[in-house]
Amino acid sequence: MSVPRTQSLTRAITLLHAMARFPRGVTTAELARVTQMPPATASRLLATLEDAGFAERDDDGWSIGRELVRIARRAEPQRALARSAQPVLAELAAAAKESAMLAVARGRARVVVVAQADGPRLLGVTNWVGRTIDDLHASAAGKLLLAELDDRAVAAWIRRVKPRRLTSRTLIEPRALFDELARVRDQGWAEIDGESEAGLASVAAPVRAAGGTLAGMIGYSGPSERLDREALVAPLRRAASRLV
Amino acid sequence: MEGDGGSSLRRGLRALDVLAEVSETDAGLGVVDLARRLGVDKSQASRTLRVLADHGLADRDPATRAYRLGPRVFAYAARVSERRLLRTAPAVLERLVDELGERAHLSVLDGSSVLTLLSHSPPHAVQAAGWAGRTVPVYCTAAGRALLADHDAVALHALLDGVDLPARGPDTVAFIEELEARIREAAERGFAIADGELEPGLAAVAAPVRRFDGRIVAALNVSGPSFRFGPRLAEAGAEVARCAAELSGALADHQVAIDAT
Repeated sequence: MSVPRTQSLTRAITLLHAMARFPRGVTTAELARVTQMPPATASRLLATLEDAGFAERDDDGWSIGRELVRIARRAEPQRALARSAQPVLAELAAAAKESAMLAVARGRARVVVVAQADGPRLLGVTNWVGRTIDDLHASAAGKLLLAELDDRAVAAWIRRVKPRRLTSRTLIEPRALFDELARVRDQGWAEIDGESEAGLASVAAPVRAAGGTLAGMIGYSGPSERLDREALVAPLRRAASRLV
Repeated sequence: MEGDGGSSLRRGLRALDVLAEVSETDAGLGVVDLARRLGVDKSQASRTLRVLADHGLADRDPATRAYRLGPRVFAYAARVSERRLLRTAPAVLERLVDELGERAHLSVLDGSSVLTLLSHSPPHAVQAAGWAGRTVPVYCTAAGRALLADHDAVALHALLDGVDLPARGPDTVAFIEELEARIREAAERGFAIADGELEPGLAAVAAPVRRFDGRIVAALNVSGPSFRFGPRLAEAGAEVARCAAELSGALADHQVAIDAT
């Protein structure tokens, strides 16, 4: 085999790499020169990269295209949100002396905790970062996610998942769940009290991106007896507005 | 074109698109999965991933042999952000000057200093001096506090331990703890205020500009003489914060239009 079967890919990456060294833009001729490629070859490969959005051309010449930003963002939206959330969660935890956490949706039917800060007390919740929650009906963040769906979609979710009873207080009857989600939509926040584990309470408010889509759920968790859920809604909402 | 007629390039670009769906908490994507997603055979998928991995565009987990996006994708995306920042910021600075009548700047963190990249000025006789290319200390400026908005106590100590914090105006911070408190205040407010910290009689407001991954890459700030600008700091701060959010949107590739007129 005389020609490597990945030649065009290898050469295009070489062009991208060269382009990254010219923040003000670079001409096709210059790119061909620094990569030691025939100008006609460079030109053809650049056209393919441009079509795919990986390279852009303007008056100053070629630069790396915004498709790469889109790809990077798509792979990392959670990391970006988690990073900006950490100082906000630390303040929330210090103010209420309870654990504060940020969760995001993983697909349409799971929630994962991506950041957490703990209060100073000994009795509290364990670290949930990285933990995936499938029992949406027994989680404050999960209820917020379900509340985004209309009743028909919730009914389909119930049929598919068959919500488990985790404690005597878990809401598993469709009627009770519909009522609860209506309440969540109405008040704009969600809570649980002993529904996932006896004695454990949580309260969560939505983090909304521009346009109103649900970007994440920010909340407090702690012992039921201690956690004044209604009083914690206002600080959670203020925190949520600072995240996006 | 090329020995392979460009087919490996098209396959490679599609592979990057598929890898972007692998989030960092997922296990990664195996060769077989990728081959199925791209509709190619396993050896083609394997060759494609190997080239991407050789150039840092894909990352192979040696334990599971699964792939995810590589670090160079993020490095490239960062270059796009830098370029877009420098192209978009001048129009925003111009608008801030029009609206607030004081000098507006775009600055970045340079060690423990703030380096002014761009500066735009109004036609006042008394104004903050021309700053482009100048550095000022990070601890006593509004821009500094905007740039340090995500620094916690540990990061602040790492940056500033051993750095002198001389009093340059009547209200300069003397301790890192004090600086941390002002950074938190600024974060809460949405913008930083400094009045008489860098120099008596000089006031400024600033807000951070974030790129696609949420990292702070620059600060937008407006400064002017306290006698004129001091009473308007709250109004100016809100406007600077709004413009910084708009710039961040442009860097994040949100659908936010920058009004260049």
